[in-house]
Amino acid sequence: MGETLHSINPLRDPADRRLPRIPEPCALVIFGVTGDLAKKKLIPAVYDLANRGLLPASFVIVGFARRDWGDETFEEMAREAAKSHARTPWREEVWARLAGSFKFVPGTFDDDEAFDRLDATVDELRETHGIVGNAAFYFSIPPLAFPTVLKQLKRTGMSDNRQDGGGWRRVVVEKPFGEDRPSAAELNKLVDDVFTANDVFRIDHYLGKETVQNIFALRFANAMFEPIWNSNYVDHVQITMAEDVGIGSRAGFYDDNGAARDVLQNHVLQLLAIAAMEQPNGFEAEEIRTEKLKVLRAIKLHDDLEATAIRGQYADGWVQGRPVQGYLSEENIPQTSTTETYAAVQLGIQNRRWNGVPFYLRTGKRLPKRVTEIAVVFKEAPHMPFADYDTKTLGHNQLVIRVQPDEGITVKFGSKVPGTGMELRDISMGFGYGETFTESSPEAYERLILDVLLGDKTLFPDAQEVDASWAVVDPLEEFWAGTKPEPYESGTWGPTGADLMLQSSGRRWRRA
Amino acid sequence: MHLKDTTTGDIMKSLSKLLHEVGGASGLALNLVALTTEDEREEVEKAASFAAQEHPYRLIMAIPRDLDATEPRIDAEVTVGERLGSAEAIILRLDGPAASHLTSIVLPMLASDIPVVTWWLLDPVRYGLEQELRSFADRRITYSARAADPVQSLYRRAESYAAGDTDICWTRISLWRSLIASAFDGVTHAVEKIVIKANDDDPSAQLMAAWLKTRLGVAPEIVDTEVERNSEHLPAIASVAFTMAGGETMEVERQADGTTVLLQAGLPKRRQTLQGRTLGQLLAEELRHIDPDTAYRKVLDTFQEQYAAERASA
Repeated sequence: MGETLHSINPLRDPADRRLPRIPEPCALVIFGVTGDLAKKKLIPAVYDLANRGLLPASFVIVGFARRDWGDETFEEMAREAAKSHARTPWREEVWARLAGSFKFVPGTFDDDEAFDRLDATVDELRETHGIVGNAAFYFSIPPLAFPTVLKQLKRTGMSDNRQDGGGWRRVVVEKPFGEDRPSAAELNKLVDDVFTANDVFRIDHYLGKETVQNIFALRFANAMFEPIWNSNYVDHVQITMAEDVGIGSRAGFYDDNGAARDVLQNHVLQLLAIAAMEQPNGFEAEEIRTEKLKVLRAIKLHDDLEATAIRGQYADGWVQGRPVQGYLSEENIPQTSTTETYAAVQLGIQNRRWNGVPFYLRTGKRLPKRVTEIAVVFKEAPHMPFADYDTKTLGHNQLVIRVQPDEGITVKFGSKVPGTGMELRDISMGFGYGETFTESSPEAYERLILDVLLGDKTLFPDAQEVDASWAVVDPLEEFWAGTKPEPYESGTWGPTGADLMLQSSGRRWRRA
Repeated sequence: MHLKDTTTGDIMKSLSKLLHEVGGASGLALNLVALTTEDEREEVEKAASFAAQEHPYRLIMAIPRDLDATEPRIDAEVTVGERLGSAEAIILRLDGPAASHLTSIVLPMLASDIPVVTWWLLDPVRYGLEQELRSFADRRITYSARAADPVQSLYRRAESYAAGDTDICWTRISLWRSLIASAFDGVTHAVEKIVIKANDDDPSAQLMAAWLKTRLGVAPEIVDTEVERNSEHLPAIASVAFTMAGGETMEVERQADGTTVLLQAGLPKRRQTLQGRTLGQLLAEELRHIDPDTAYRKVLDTFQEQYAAERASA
């Protein structure tokens, strides 16, 4: 990390927390810059960083795509994108500072000459912008194109860290990281070879969310939660990542992958790792990764997959007062598709802390609402000195980490109903993560892009974590191969199989 | 809700009634006690409602009104989630002896066991409120640029410094400092000379000089310059120039419209924008850390020495 650098800069004092960490002068090269991700997330995030004063004085965005554009056209497009999607208020003078910092290189991925031009463009920044070689390459492109682009970066030498006069080269890749363990290993090897493993940043944008980072604070900075965060007190854990939307325009990609590969393998397992990991020795990237990896490798699927690995596919129905069509009627989806749009699975974690505690994970599309949460459901009090009829409506205590929306924490516990009797009822107590505060809370991409430029890998899963996650998902895919997912009506909480999975042990899904 | 000639007990009853109506208490992070005048009330309210988005707090605003009155009197306005954004707010107008016994009024109104920050936006000396509220505040924020003699006022604050003090004049140079610090990433030579072009009587310029002296060991020369500012909450600094041991130079220069140029020997000119932030943004930065700002403490010490030495020689 930049520590050595900061220690020689006499103006940086660790006690001086007002001075934000600002990256060295650098370039951000975006492949696939005309795509949705670049327009809606990356470029707006760059503007927001500029607005917050977190970009270095010399910062250039280089776009690469198959368009017949000049620098000006690119800048105009970027401006439109930033203006319509930025989180922070639009200020012309902030943009003015970025103006002239946009370069566009037209070309296709198999065009050697285009990559030579890109190489030259990045080199010229030394003279024109005082950027001595630092560049991050953002792959906002389909995974199929990864090998071609990586080979080009290797051929031109663009992927090499500059030995003379400093300068780093980093690469940022988005999910999917392969489609199973072998393909992920191949991809990881390729990218780790072309760059060095340390310079590869895999984006899981969930990790950029404030609430996810707050789980570390909740668990490891407080005395009251950690002592009960284990199998002595926890009955089970539910992790839900629900979307109300359908597959949108991702038909081709989605139908090849499905919910388990698209979401469970990355976001959901990362949430599980953070919620279940042991306390890291420190907060360095490596220390956190070590603990996450231990948990991921300790995951064990249930022996009876028939009952504990449930797939569903949305059928016609109504979502939020509007009729929607089923998955098989979506454009470009074959009538015979057996791809799942919902997956629920029960896992165990084989270590002392979690022995015997089931983890129920579920994710799906066209569910009643968009919500992501981790619910820790506690065991019942060992003995209650109340009459049964008084505690009839009393459930298990719960601690729910609401990741999105309404970021915060909910604690559910029993309380006396006002009146003369001793009747008890569940109440929930909410902590809104800063109430109205989401507005000023940075977007995940802002945080993650800044971390890439600073070289801080804390919030990025590495190749081993990706591998360990596929080791969980591959047997599920194998088990599901050749079967048909159970249909569920759009706008409901998924197939009945998922409910039965919990009912068999007397539990039920939390209504998220 | 407006309460005439009221008591703290009635004020708190009104607050809890309002909170009950909107559905119970919310997660408060701190108490903010603002001392201001009627003239500045709107400005303070605007700043406070902005900062409340980041730091949910109970705002207690105290406005001394008729200081000559013989009978103490408290008028209060209690609001939740109205013009003061998400803050629970109590606005007090105090007559006669009530103003000088502010502590006794504020203490029972604080939300329990969360930090207390006091913010003076009036001249504490003029209103005799310098010592009021000091004893239980975790942080004390002043704005010395608003005092009659700004640098002198900062010096007074340095003399009576207590852990947890800060001044908005320090807050408002954060962006400047950050720009200078990032220019120093990668600089290997020692600094030999520093020249700051600034308004000599701006406390921010004095703090900038003191910061550079603290960190670099070289006392900057301040060349008194009339600085045109397009925002009140900007430091009156036009440029900071460094000469390195190797003879190289580096300069950060801000023009009146906010365009800021970084000139570094051997490198092309680099432009940035440096704009003044709103009082609300400055307040929000100030509230981010609730423990004492030790970096500020060191800088303030340097300033105090320097100022005392200059006064002695003059």
